[in-house]
Amino acid sequence: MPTDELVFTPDDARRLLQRAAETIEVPPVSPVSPAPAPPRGRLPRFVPILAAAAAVAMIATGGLVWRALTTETPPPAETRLGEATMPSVFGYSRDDAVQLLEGLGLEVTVREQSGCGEPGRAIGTVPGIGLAADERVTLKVSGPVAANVDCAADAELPLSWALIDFATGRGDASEVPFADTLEVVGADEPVDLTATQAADPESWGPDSPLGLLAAATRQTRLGETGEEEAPRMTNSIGFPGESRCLPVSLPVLDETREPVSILVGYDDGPCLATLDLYFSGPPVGVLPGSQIDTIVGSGTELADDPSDRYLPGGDGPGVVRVPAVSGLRLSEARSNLTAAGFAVHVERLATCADPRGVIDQSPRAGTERNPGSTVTIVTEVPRATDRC
Amino acid sequence: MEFSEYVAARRSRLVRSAVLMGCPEADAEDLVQTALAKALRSWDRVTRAQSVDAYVHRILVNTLHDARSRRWRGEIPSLVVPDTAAPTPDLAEGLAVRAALLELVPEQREVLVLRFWADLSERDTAAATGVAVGTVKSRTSRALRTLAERLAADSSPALEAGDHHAH
Repeated sequence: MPTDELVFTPDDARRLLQRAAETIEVPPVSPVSPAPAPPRGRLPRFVPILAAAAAVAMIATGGLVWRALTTETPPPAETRLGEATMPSVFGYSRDDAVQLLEGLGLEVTVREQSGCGEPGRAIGTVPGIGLAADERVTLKVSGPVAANVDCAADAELPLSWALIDFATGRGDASEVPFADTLEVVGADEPVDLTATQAADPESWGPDSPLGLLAAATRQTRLGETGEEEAPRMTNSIGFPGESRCLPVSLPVLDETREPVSILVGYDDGPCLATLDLYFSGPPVGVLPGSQIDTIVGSGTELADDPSDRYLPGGDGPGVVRVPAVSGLRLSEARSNLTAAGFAVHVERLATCADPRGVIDQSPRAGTERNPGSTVTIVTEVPRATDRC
Repeated sequence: MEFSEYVAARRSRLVRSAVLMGCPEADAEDLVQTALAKALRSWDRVTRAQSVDAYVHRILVNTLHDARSRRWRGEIPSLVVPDTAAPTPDLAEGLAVRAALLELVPEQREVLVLRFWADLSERDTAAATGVAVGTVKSRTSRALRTLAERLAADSSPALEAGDHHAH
């Protein structure tokens, strides 16, 4: 029976990783093209991310001080009040946001802020979400691109905002090029909508990709700093693989068609909704004449009431906070959830990459639920080699 | 801290973090650019976090996972030996460690890099990887043992240097 077990101490590990790191050469300058990266075949082509990455690259080269996205520090969280609090303006156009805030009896000052977002789209407010609404508030909206900042021309696809406007009832379908027949794939069975039906949100149903998108835009979460945060919208172009928003079964599509994806979520946290748009012509909303003939939507289960979200503390009587199990092995996740008093429903997602264990959960960690209710977790499992 | 100052000070370290966590070396700079761009968009929030490094590494880990699932699709990152005529002993040791890291499962590799290269605390590592602190402890323990075994199996100079412990 072996008795000699090798174990590294933390100091050993630090020294070895230092040695390993010394073998990695990092050039001092790392230019990034502002245009979508052409394929080395495996990089995600996050359009707005690349735009901002261009700014990062310029900073790395020295000389440029980037202040375009610098924002004011919001008032401290102690000013949070139970009533008359600031709403989220995420997804709103300037005019819609002004109308929303003025409807609350507030005097609104609009301030443009340079960036790579669609000009005229609301960025946020001062005071921020959930804070006491003063009589006078500032609405920050995207302004022109700052000098010396090279955004990709289509950093945020206008089509994305048009679809969000349509989904939320703040715009009609005239800016969204639906094909004569639109296949909609979501949580329910796929359905085909005529152009007339597609232009009517009622035809889509509450659990449709359109409903997911609208629900996602209304969500906020309590951030690490104790302030409410709205999600962000990003676009990507390219085959989506397994979507970050789960669970959903991706349909078998023509793999030569790459979608434009609209993702609503948090950079450092969960995705709330993903809509993959497939076009009848050359991909994308950047080319006139292309029409959307398929929409695949996936999303995290969202609360109908946006106030049902991360809670900072204070477990109420009779309810239990859902533990965080993302990243754990299935057995650990099941054990933790069961110990907390929840039933567990497991969904499995095949992947060609190394399975990462539990990759999503619903309800989200921190949500309060009654003991005995069911928590759905999604775990990755290896896909058959011949299907990768 | 200004964003530009952070980038100037930490970018190289982040690129090395990405490679050590399994990102193909050719893609690591783009991955870090993407992560930094995400951080830039929330920079006011990032700087209010307890540890900027921990927050940025959390974004980096998420970006790595996202890129892995969306694009790499099962690709196994391979270690490309630098094109040098005669690696120094130190370089050989480092390459052996990188090769051993690639044999670990991603979760173990990440926790080692975050704890012992990025110097994150157990709590920050837990936040960056989305698991409990206890899980970080157990993964770290398993990872240290596995790394030692892999290096021993490869008869690497790291082990010959004698900086391991027999129990």
